[in-house]
Amino acid sequence: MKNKRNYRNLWLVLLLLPATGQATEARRLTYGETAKPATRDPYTGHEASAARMADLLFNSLTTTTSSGKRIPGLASHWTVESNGTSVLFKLRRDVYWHPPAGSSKPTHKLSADDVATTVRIIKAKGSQIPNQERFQAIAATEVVDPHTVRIRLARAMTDPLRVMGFKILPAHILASTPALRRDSKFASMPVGTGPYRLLKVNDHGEVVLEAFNRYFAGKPTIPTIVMKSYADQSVMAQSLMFNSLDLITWVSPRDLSEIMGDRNLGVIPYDALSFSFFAMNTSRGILGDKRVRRAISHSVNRQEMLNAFFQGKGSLISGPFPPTSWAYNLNVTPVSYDPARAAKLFAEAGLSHKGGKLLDKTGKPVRIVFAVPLSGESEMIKRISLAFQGYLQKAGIAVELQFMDWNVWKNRVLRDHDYDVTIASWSFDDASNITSLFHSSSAKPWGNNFVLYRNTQVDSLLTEAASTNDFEKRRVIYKKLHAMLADEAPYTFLWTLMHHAAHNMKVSGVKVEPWSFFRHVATWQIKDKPR
Amino acid sequence: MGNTAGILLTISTFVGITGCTAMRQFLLSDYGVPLTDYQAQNGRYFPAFVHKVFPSSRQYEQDYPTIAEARAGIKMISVRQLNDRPGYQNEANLSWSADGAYLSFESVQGSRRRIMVKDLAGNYSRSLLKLPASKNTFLNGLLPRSIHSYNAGLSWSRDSTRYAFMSNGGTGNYNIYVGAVGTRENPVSKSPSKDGYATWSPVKNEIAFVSGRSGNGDIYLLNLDSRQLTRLSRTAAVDLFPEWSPDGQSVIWSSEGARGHHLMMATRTSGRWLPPAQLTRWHHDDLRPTVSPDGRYVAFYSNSGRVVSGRARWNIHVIPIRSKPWTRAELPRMLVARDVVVDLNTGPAWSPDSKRLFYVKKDPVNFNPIYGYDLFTGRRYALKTNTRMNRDILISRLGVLSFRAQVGAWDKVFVALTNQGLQLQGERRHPGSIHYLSL
Repeated sequence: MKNKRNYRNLWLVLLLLPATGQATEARRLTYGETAKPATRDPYTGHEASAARMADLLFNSLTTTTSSGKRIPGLASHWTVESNGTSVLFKLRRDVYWHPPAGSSKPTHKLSADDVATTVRIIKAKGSQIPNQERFQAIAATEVVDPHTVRIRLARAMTDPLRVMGFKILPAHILASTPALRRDSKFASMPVGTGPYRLLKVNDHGEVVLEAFNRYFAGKPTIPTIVMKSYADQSVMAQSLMFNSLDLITWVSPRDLSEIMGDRNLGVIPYDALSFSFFAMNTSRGILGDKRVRRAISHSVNRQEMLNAFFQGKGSLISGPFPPTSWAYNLNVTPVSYDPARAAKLFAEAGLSHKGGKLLDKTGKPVRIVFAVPLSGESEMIKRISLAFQGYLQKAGIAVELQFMDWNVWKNRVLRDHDYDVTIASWSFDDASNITSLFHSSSAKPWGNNFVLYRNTQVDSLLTEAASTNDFEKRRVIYKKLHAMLADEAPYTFLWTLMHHAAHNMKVSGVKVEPWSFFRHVATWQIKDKPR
Repeated sequence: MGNTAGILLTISTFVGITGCTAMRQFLLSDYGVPLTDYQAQNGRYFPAFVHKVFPSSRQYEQDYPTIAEARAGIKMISVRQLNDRPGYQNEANLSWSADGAYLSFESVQGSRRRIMVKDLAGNYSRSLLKLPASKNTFLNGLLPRSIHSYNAGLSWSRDSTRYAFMSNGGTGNYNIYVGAVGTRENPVSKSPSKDGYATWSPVKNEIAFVSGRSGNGDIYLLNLDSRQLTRLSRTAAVDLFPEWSPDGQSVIWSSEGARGHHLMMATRTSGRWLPPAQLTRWHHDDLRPTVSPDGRYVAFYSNSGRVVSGRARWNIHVIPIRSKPWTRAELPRMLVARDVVVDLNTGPAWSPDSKRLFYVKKDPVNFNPIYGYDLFTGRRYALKTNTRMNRDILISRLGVLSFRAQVGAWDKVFVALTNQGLQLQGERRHPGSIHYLSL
């Protein structure tokens, strides 16, 4: 409660009022997240906010630049051995673990034991790690000496470093821990090697991080970082716009225009490395005919949806890769919105129109069941599904939208294949491996080929691409596959979206990476003087 | 506590007016534009311009020949899209003038957002898209503007002819602009930091708004006659969504930062603003308060609902205004709607007679339908609008419900005539206490 003195001088002349207030505390960066990470270690959380926090607290052996090049992280150099079945890492000798709580002096250095402990824990059955199967390719570790470690793979890989990007955990804390659990002390107050150390979680739930003065890549410029989480995205965006935050990691499409209209704020687009699609169950009736699938794609105005729902902040795609992928075939043009072409294709497939309805070969009206997954608070899936229904209605097709919770959707679509059309997205790492999406061997319950697409020529190409160690050859095969799948249309390929972060202009040097948001944070700067 | 007692005294006087005659005087004379030019009679419930916009309103007058029949329950008389011409832009955030004759809505095309100001009868239309003053250089028209014009959040004055809104002027600096029907608009706030969320006092030429000039988003007040500025909030975190009480003597807003916004209220006595007092105190996020037209209650969104996929669902709570905070022991009992769609543009919509609340239910199977809840009977009405993915609900003094809904891929503004207008509903006494649900 303020005392009366504070209110004596409130009456000020508007035009003389300077920006006297103190902006968010100088030399401290406060950023906003829309989901509070349940844990703060790099593995047990499932939120994107947890992964971003792990970038601040931890490091990997190697990292990947935005152009796909591997660069040293905790490892100074490495050697791929035995035709891609193992990798020998030489560790940096100048890496310290964050000091224990209450101390500013680090006590332990990075060693090969840390790598061995990490591999043991991320593979431990009792560890509560979402998508733990991503570590299946890693078989074992061998500590060669305190600064050298070999990681063996379960099978030969063309690019074994692709699976070595995991964050390294401290053996001096976890050596005797059989598995990593979400309720462990380490999960709430982790110790890493990263540019920032976890200082405290204050009474408001804000996570306070302090620059690690012995960070091997140099002490970060910004002394303190604070993470605040918000229940509502727009409130978070408004907090940035009214100077209460310095940065937000994600801007919702509805807030983007307002933020872009503020000259005091900078917007940074970053690739989502994913694409969205309408999946068509090729085992169901007329959807087995590629002319029908192509006609459906021609019936949908994807550019209009991109403009209406995402303010056009994305790119239409023509095949199963994000356009920034090395595998994307730029010679394949996206399917146009062309109702006349759709009508022609429907007719070629033996379907007819009567009274505004599309009839199948037996004269029955065509009806499609659209399985709509519901997850979280987002209304976007519902809106896109509704638009899809409207487009197909114009083409004479009745679409029944069946809404279902995420778990029900997984059972209906991935396990039982009991649907005609659905909507989903795939996210990729830089390998852009689509084998499991379209190979007939994956057309089974819980397989990624849940559209049950079967094509022997596509199978052969996918197998050939997976077995070659020749990157250029793989690129050529994937571009060919891209063209074939665009023609076959097991999906209506929709778009890849651009994500956006936003920051106050007093923060400079901000550069983000899609898979490692805070990788460059140590070089960011913040002006002392509020704007 | 002396100051607090002052606030309590003001409110006690305020809510003491509940009788039939007193209520009429309170609503029609003291606040907003009097409806003296239109009085409902048996068989005639709407002015001519409403008949023009909603022709079926005449049929309603014939079907329900007495006021008693016409005002019973919540009735949806007619629904129409405001602009039924096809257009490739989203529309949002409709705002009614105090007399229900003028309206505004926002139209989004690309990155630009403009405000359209119209009268319901279709005689007046103006587009608000503030652009930088023209500079005659040889580069004009050759170089693209790096900053687009963004205009939003229009709030009408008490006399229904003027309005305030937020615009970046096409220059990237958000300020409050004031205009009037038939004239141009000019900025009234000039700060290098953002000013927004302007809301016009129901009784004076005064605007409450949020400004970043303090460094973290605080509530300010601007007297348009004297040009004097008053800072109402002094918290360390951002304060948002200011709302006036109908007597113009209190402002209520959402305060605090991450997870845990609570409601605050500042009150003026004898021309002097007392320190803000907290209205809600619990561990949930309380957002977008709206004050009932009779000034007795505040409705707001709170994420007090069940947790689904790690996130709490949003509910609507209604609290009587009082001088001490409602607590975590009390607030769970003050629930009126579960699983709602949060509308930060408008907040829960009060009927003009303060008896009912309108909101959008989070119901994907039925594409988020609109509901009305009668606070004093506990009856809930599903409104058949035949629209989908509804949002941004408001209701005008004449009982015209406005909202946006999805048409094709685009959001479009709809208007719906109901029997909730003050001319039909306004003369009745509140029949008791609020019917609450329990969490």
